[in-house]
Amino acid sequence: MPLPRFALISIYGILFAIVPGPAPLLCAAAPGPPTFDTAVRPFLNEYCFECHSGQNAAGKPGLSELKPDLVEDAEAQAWMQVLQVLQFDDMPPPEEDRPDPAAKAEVIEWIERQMESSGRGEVHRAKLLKPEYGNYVSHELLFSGTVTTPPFSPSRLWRFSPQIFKGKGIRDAKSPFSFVTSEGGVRDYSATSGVDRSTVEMILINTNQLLDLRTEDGDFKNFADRQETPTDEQLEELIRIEFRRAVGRLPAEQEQHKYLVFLKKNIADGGRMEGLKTTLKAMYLSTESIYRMELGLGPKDKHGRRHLSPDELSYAVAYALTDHSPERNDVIRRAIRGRNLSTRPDIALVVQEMLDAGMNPRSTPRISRFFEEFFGYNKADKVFKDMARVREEDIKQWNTNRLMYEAEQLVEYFINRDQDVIEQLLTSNQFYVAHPGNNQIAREYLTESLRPDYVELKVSQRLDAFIQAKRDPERQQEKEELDRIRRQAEERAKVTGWAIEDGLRPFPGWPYTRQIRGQSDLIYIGVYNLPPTSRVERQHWDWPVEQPFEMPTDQRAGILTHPAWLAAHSVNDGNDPVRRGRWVQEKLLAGVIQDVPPDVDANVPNDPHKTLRERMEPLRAERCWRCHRKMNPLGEPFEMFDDWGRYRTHVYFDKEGKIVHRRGQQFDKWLAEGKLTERTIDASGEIRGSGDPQVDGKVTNAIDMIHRIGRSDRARQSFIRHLFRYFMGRNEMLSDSMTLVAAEKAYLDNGGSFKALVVSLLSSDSFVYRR
Amino acid sequence: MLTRRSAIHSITASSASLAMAPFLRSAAAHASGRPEALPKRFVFVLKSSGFDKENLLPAGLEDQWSKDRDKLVDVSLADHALPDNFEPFEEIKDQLTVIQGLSGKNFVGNHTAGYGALSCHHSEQVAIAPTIDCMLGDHLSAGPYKMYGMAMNGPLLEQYTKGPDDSYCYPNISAMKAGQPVAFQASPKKAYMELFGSAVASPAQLKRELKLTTNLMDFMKDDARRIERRLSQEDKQRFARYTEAFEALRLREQKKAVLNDRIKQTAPEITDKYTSQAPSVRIGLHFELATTALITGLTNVITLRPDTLGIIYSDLGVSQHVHALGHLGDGTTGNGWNGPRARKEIDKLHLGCVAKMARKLKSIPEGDGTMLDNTMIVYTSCTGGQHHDGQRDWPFVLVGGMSEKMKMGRYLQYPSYQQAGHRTIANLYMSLLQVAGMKTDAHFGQLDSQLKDLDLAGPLAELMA
Repeated sequence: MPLPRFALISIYGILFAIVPGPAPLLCAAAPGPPTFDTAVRPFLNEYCFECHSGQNAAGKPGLSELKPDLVEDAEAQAWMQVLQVLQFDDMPPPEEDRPDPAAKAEVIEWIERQMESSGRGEVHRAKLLKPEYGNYVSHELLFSGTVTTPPFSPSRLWRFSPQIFKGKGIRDAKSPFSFVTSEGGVRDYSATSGVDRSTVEMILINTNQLLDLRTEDGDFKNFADRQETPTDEQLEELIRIEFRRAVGRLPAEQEQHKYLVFLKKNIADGGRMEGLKTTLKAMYLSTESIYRMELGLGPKDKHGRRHLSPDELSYAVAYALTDHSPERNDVIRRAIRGRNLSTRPDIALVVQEMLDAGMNPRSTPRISRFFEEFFGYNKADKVFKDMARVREEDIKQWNTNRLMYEAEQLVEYFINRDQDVIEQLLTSNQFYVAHPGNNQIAREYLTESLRPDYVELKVSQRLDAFIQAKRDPERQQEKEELDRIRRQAEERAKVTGWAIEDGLRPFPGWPYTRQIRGQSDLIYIGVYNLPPTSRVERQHWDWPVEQPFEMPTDQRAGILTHPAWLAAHSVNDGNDPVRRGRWVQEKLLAGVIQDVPPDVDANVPNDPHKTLRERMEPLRAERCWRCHRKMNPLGEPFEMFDDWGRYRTHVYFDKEGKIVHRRGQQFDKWLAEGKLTERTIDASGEIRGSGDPQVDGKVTNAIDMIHRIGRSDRARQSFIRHLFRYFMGRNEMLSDSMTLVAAEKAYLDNGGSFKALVVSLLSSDSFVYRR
Repeated sequence: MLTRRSAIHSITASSASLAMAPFLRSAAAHASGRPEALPKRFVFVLKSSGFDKENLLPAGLEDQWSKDRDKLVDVSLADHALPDNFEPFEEIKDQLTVIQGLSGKNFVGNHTAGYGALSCHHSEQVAIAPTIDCMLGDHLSAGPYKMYGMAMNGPLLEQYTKGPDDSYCYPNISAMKAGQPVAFQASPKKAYMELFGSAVASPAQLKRELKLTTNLMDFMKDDARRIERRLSQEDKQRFARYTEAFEALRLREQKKAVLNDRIKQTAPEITDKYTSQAPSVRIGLHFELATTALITGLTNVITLRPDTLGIIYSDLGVSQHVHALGHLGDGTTGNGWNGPRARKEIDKLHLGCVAKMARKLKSIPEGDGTMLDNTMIVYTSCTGGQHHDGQRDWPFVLVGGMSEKMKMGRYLQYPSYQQAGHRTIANLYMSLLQVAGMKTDAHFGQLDSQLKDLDLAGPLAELMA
């Protein structure tokens, strides 16, 4: 069986002549494939044999006795284990010198090549196509600048995402497409997005339902009831309208003809109405209604790569940034009409213009979704928190929707400001709290709330609204509504007055509008360590009208210290240092962590006398620590926050030595009465494997850690790799090296510009070429 | 008399394409009457809002739910009077088994375990693994449908439809595999047309429909071929699943066409009941259609969703929806029932339908016995016992038989959650898979970490003959 090119390249460290195709994809100075004698034995000799030769304790042969192939099952298993410990950097032990990455890559390559030749490669290959295995490609090599292979993506069909399906508007039909990728990362991957019988059945069900409804609505009445036989012209017109409706564009002449022949045959076989319906079903089931087509229909270059055609490009760009077809976007539509969308510079201009128009969830939903999928702060509401805990721990209001929105506001602010975006998102102490996200609007609401005639103003605004809506203000219902408005305005005016007396800027509150999300009180802000108050209570916080504003630098640094992120990466009764550490390891250090072994008991023992960190102490046992050393030291620094996202310095114990979680008046009383003992929180940790000795090392807490990692080359590059995956819908291959290096350069040359980064990726060879 | 054997002979006599061969071979094997070749069928009935365990206790047995039961109760139903709700099963008592004390605590959700109830995964709204009904259907059904589902309503396909009752819906119960939920038909009328439409269609109409389906599938395959040529090897493999779907759908229509004569013989009568919106009427029709579909050989696995939390059993005189009944306690419904009574009456309605289905299957000879001897009806709730129970005790009612591979006529109550000898619903499902002739691993679905000290491998030994 011929080996799929795409998979091979993603697995093997370096590209070799094994890749079929007219033009060799060799690096300029690529050596021959590594052999056991040239690459593997010397490596094992230097790093492994000292401990792993001879028979081991269990009587199994040591490394030095392994045969240099994977033919036998036992040998194969042993080599797979070698592969894993190398890929996961589990060996040599942490205290030993790290092997040369290139030498290690050769050993990995040799094992993978043997897996292929012994027929053991398929399972491994399928696994490597999933997003969670994206980091398997050597980070050092990707950014080394030594790989000069011309980049490309495989020619492919990429099934529509549920979001695109929704935008295509088969009314509100349930999407037949769903993601099977894991929830913790990039979701929309071409290689994992299959269509099979059940998807086709769902599309048929949708279509039947749609056609039934349209029949009931009388959509086909003229066609069905007309006495005379329709002419070809009439049928063609019908096909044009329906094709556009189903597929999103007008049919080409050839397609038009094909559907005409089909329609006529169906009418002859099944009658006019049923014949038409069958024809329409074909449109909804057609490949183009299901897949994004990225075959590479443009010209072929000297490396054997085919450029996407202008048509294909228009779809690729539209779906990279939005959930709608190119026809729905002004900039792309203009470019297509002016024939200005066929080269890489053309794309760069189009993308730049789309981004310059402002990035937000409405105009560029795919950009917003990237940050959600990358950071995961939008999952704060998925972690169930018990109401009993909310009360006991004095949370006042657990408003995850607001917190997630405020994280989103922050992202929107930094990407549109477009300076040092990655560093700012990761390290800035600027936050939005209870703000419309637009300072002009915030000032307007504040000014309004300060007007001496505020109450009358609110009442008269509502009266105007009644008149506009032709509602009679003298009716009982309207009168009651006006009374309510007056009472609320009076309450607001009273609280505003108190704030001014206290020398604070009053929080004005505002309703939902088309542009902004409403917020009427400050009751939820305790999780930011700010004083919460309801809409009728005396305000205690000097509300910053200009936002984002600066939070204390020792308490907050970027998204990872945002309550939304902290809550999303917690469990229902506490912090989750393992998951947080894993996040940092994979998303910022481009590290890999082995799949959880099947016999691992994932429970942390309960003990009311111990802190979570103490309860996790058993993980430092040798067997667990092999993997957990890559997570816990990166996750435990977040112990400086509780699982609601509140900054904390101490943990408190009662007389029996049990941890006291209660907060609020009762807690304050106990503390004042000396009934509690306190201990400083241990939020220390350690960074390893960032590739930079300045970054690696012990850290005192999350703030310290984030400032070190957040400004590192590794974090920037790791972010870029994830953005690449998101746009390309696949894992990076080593042959994408030039794209990634260029993207990083564009970002840095433009002062840390996210836009420059996006433009670079979307006009890269990886984006426009197919093989 | 109408028997399956005579019907199958009539099927095999008609001509058909090569692709039909497995279907016809299996039909012929069934016709031979050998017990091992007899078709095996399953019906899953998943009610909502829990299943009150008190109502399942045969006379003379002690209620021990409040204690930490550490003993298995395994008694013959022959020695005990059935609880009141089970009266319609009296004459088939030896083919009834009631099981209590199984858990499925880690398949949590909001009032329902969703797909998890049948896949043993934490999978309420998004299918992350195949469900047991689909697995069995894939293994057992040679007919047009691998499995067929009917539901009262569910998350709607379209918000524009006139009501939840008039279309397909996705009740989040069954899935072929991860990300592939199965649509259930909510409209009895549409289910009728889909399954038995050929009974009321003229031969010309049938021919026309088959022709149009063939046209569509041919067109799609031809269209796909154009694309296929340009794909990488890897994408070709993925794309093949899309093109194969058309062949599979065409085959389904062909198989139905082969069953035409049989469908004409067995199809239920269309009456004005089919336009009724009364819940008990609709449930009754779903059961009637399901029974007939099994008899006809349209499928071997049916899953029914007889109610959801939003249903109001107005025709029973109940004024609150099912969810409210779970919280009603001593409050009363329109007809004066309190919460537990109203819930019991709903169970009674469902059990009556199950019993009617079982008796019908028992009336049809098959091999040396009856169709019921080769059919297992599984009645349970999508969320374990009671309304908000936490799924520590998930009751099941089994009716039927599996060629005597399963011990029936029993009342089983397993030791409480975390006690030695406790078992989970996954153990029951492994029993069902094995008696259906499927291989199972040591475990099915996700394991409950709270039960890590127990041996939970394999099927329920007490059930296996």
